Amino acid sequence: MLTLIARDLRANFRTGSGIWLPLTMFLTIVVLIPIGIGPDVDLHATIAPAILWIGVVFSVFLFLDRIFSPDLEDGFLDRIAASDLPLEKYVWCKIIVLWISSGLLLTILTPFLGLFLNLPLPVGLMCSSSILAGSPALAAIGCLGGGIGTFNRHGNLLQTVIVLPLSIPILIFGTKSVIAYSNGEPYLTWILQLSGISLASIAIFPFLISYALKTVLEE
Amino acid sequence: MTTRFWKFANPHHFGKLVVASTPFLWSFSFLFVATGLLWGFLFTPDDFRQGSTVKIIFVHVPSTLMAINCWLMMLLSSIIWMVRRHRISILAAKAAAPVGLSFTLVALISGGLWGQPMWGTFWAWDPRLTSFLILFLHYITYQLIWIYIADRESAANISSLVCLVGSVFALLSRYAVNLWSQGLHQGATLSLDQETNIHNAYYLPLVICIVGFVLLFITLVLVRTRTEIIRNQIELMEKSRRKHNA
Repeated sequence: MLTLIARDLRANFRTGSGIWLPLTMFLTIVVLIPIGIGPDVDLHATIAPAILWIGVVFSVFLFLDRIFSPDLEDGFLDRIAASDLPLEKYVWCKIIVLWISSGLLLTILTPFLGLFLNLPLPVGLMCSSSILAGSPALAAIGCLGGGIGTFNRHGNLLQTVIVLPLSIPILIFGTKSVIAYSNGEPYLTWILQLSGISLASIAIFPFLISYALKTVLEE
Repeated sequence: MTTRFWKFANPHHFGKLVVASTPFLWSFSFLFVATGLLWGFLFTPDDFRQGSTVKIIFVHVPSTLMAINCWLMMLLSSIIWMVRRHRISILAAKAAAPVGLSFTLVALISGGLWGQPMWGTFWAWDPRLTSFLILFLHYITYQLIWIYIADRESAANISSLVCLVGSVFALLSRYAVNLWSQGLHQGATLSLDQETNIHNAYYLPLVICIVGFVLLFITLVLVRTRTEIIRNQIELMEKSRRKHNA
């Protein structure tokens, strides 16, 4: 399993775009929205958690079509399905790789970009910990979209409409926790619920995704 | 009892049931919907504050109810498909999806039309409204899967998967948007365990409307399911003929 994770991570690092494109996307959103709004710093601080979270959602879902389709095209997926390794474990590795190369990197970047948005450092750190808690669930949802998106030429459309409604509760919990923290309300509940959703997602989604992949392989 | 129910997993038995029952179902649902709506629209008094806009309740509440129940029915059918692989079950879910989508749209639009004079806005990001919008998105996702995955077997598997995941996440969203402060929408009008918040003059026509919408839903789903079964058979026949010719 570690070999699989290392292989995919190496591939992401070597091609460069696998690591840099989510970061660039995140940066683009965080820079463009304040520029679009204008220099109203108070407004920036109010909507900063939403901007950061939407940036994370977009960056994680940036190339879902590249998660499974290369392996499907070069036959690696068929080899995995025929081997002793359960398909669920392979899918689990894919979720972890997607999370490391998008969610985890963005978590590190968030407090610094929060400063751009007039977000105090403690709130920025809170924002990044909520992203740390929520992004594994986003990665799992993204892999589900990617798995179903491998079907046909309409796959891109399908994966987008699949991940859109599923990401809504994560976004709500994530922004809610940051807003509660900056208002001085109890915030730990939301973080814990977000972590619960993430843990449940990375435990359950591999089975769902491999169900979808088996359907693809049978077709 | 259970064996009797599963008998209708046979397309032949199911078809016979549908053909035998549709005339009654059509007439009863027409009767109830027409009675309820006519009574509601023409023979109930105006509310002293809301005026005649209160009468939108006769469309809004039943369609909201059916939009949610339709999703539950699709969830149940999807689970039956995943566990027992009865083809009719998933075809019923497929047939129900556009019906549920329409009910959701009717609920959203009628709510907006009522909201404009009453709240001064068509739309507010209120918990109830938002969760209904999310339900609408889930319906669209489900529908697009059937449209864009050409192979029926795969579409059945994937759509039931999406219905299952979507149900969990729709519930989560419902819970999540409730964290927002209490919005504009009033509490439940009708409930089974509490006193109802509605005047007697509106109660009976509303109940008739709800019964009518339920009957209409059952009728539409049964008829559409039969259409889907027949379409399935035609496709299989064409496929085998093509194979025969080639």
